[in-house]
Amino acid sequence: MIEGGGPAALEAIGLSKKYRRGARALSNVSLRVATGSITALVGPNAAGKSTLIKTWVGFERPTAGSVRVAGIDPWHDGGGALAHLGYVPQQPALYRELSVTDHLDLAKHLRPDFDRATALDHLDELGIPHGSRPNALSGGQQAQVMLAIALGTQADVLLLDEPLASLDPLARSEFLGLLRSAVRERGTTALLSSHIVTDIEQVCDRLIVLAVGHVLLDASLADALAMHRVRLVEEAAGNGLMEVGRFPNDRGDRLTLVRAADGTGPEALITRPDLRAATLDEIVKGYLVAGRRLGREAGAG
Amino acid sequence: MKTVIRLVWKQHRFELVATTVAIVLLTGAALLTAARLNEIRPTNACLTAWLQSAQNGPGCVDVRPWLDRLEHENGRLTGFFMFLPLISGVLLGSVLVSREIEHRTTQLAWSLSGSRSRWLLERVLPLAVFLAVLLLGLAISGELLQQARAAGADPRASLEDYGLRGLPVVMRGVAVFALAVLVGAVVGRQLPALIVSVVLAGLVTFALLGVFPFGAPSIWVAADTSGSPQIISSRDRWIGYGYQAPDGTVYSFAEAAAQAPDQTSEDARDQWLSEHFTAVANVVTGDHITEIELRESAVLAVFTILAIGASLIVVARRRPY
Repeated sequence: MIEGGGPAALEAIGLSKKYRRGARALSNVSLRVATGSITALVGPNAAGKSTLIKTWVGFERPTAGSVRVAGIDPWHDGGGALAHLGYVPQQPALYRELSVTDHLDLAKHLRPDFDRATALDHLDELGIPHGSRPNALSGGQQAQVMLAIALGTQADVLLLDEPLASLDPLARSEFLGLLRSAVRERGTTALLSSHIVTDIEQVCDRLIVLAVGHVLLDASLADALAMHRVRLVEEAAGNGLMEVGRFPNDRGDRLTLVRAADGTGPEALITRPDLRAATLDEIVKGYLVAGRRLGREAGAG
Repeated sequence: MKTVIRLVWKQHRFELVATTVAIVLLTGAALLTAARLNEIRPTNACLTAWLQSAQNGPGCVDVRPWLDRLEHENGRLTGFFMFLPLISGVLLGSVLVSREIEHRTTQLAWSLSGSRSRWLLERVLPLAVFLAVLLLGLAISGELLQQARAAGADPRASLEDYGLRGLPVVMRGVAVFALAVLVGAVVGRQLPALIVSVVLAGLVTFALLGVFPFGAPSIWVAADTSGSPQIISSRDRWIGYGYQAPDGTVYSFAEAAAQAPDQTSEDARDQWLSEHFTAVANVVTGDHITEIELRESAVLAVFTILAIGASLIVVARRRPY
């Protein structure tokens, strides 16, 4: 689904990606990420999140459709698109042989507009020693170095591909704190791929749920919260409602995530006494369940 | 550029140190051997006398110590001169891109650099120049060693130990380096890239032997009936043999033998061949060495440029993992 209005920092237009071995990672995905937003990209494993991000970076070539970074197709003008991008991959991609300072020197050399001072300031805030090599840094510190380099590029758009996956809560919190302050200061657009809902709530203002290569939800956090409800009973959804997915909560109760059916406004939900407001965690869980169901159906098909 | 050189040095310290130490040691050993040979070198007349009669000529010092040094000390170095330029090229080239892909650091570098071609060239060129300079020293030491071995004869008029001295030493190492860079870019894993590069370097060397003398002119000279090059000067290179008819036409053995009237007996046929043909050897004379070296170097330069060009295409289009 494509939202109108505002210039898009990132766009995918009818994007499909099929790997040589036959696995389809993305199927006709169309979405746009508005400039200045911090968007969470959520989805189960193999949903196509990394593929989508790597297509924007120009690491993957679309099988069909296209992507744009600030209006530039990275496959046709890699340099032009990359000039707008800062990228943090899932696993820190630091050189074993180089110190943190060397990495900044390399970044400055490869990207002449790289702001070394800003990157060093970020690293100082986190107490990361400049002379250390990656093997002397924790996973969290390595992720912070990657983020500091991405921020030092002063890019308009930051793509963060599950950088928090292996970090402890404190490291995640520090990472997100740095991201939030840097992004808010500069009005940067950021797309953060993550499984961890608390992260999304902390920093993101928009949510995209991707599953089996399809976009299941693309909404602002406020809209997502307004248009979804949960209920305990496992009854048919009823008029004006659409069941998204069923999942257990922490107490083992079975919950059903519902949303207003297409063509029906959120008010249809508010008036129902058997429904309560959904948390973001519940919304994401409901869509992840829906994604798995879609995956099974696709596999069976 | 200084930044890149410093970072490339840090990234490839092991390969650079290993290559430098090996090449410097071999260069030093060659210079030392040349000096030791020159120290007790007999005169040309004494050497010629000894080679003809296996005895020291009148007024000559004993030639045998010189020949012993030639055999033992120089003989040990020959294999290293053949393989070290190739091994150095493989070692430096195969890891240049493959290590980055294997360690996924290309994800950082390629997302920062607007041009992957520039990224690659900034790595390839300093290493290629560094390797060429090291090998140039080795090539010169090989030339000095040949001069000492030749006992006064001009090494620039001899094809003896061709490829173990002079420009081909440099160009073979650099060409193999470029080939290994390409293999590393395609394979993307260090150990497989190293193994494949070693195999391909061997094939390239074999192919070079196949196209020798690179179009340089050859002449037919009289040989014994087996076509052995024994009687040919060590300065010249035998590249084939044949049977020359009285009218000057040179035939292959099969063509000449087919003309023999008695095909039933080998002895009779050989007898007829020796009566009607002269066994000749096809040789390239040593004075063509510079021309051959330049031609081989030109071929390898084109090969190097093509390999680097292919590497640029691969790097521009491949995934960074």
